[in-house]
Amino acid sequence: MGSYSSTEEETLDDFGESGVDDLVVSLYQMDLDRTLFLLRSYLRLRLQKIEKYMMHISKSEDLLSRLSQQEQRFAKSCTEMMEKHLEQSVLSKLPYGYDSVTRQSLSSTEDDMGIPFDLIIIPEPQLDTFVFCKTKSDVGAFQLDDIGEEVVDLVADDLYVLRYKSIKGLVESGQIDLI
Amino acid sequence: MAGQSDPHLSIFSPSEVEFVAEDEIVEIVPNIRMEALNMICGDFGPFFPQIASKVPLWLAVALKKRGKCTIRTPDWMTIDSDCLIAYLSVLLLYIFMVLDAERESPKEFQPLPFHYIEISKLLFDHARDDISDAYLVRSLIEDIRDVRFHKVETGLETISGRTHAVKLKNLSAMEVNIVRPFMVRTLQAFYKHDSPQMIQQADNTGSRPTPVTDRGPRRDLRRR
Repeated sequence: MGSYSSTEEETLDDFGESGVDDLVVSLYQMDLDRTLFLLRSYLRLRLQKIEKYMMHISKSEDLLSRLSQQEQRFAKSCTEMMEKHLEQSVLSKLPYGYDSVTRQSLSSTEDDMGIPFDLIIIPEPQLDTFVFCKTKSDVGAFQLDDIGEEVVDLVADDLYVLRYKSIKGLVESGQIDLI
Repeated sequence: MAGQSDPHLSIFSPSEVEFVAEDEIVEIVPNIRMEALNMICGDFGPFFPQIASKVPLWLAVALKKRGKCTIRTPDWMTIDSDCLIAYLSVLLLYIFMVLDAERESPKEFQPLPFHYIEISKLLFDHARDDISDAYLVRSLIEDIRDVRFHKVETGLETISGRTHAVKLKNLSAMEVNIVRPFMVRTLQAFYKHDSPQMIQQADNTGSRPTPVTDRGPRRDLRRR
């Protein structure tokens, strides 16, 4: 990405020198600026997400593999810094058993329903939330929950508000676009 | 409501939506000769005087600002010229038809381009002189916008605890953006309080601490 836009920039410089029409140069410059703006917003958004869910991401190999090398480095150093900070400011002053970054307390690893407490401390993306999406092709009757109570008929090129969790597969296979 | 309170992750600003709309293709009639442009976003041209050519909206506006072209008004923004004289009585205009149809059907949205608000705004700002009957078209588009938005608002009232999916055929980008925060939070709140787990918790209040209130509802509990 970086190398592509810098080649474009060099081409623009060449244009300026070789006396190509100013209008054309300025149009190419606008095209380049728009592309860079888009790429920067995209990267910034990814970094925001990493910062928010760094603990969650660094726990899972699958999620880590979706990041670029630079992003992985960022996530790692971010997590380390956060852990160090929590350790120094609070955790080191707490009694034994309550001094873990990822766990509320050592003795109660699970609540009485068998759900581990770790989940509560580490911020995770909320996949249960609702999203706006547009279908690309006909999907047909689609089941939203596990037990088949909620079924929607997804028609091509229509706009829906659905729970992300239930359409995750469709998003990943490219049948539906988030908007 | 953790995860939703951060506005940066889920909401676009109106100018960002406009940025996206600037990639929509419009037709221009250049008044200069220009070589083809091979851009990152695609190849356009070559351009010859008086011969129409298709370019993205941002390029059209840039050329228009420099006085190098006129922008052809998209079909959906035109008023049929044959009936121009009688336009107030006969209403045979495309845009009039949209407005009429919009008022007739209270639940549905009429098909309009996904970015109709942004495109019309950009064209009115930069290419006003290329639009015939600009004043009338502008007030009609504003009317359409109001009628449609009223529908969105009435639609919001029908959301209830049993709403697991909402279908919004033909809703446009800007309308989506405006309604997104309300819609998502409403659905989310209903979904959360409707979940069997929440109901069960309300039954035996006090018998057990509830450390999981801010976690997503777990549908699988319903099987019992």
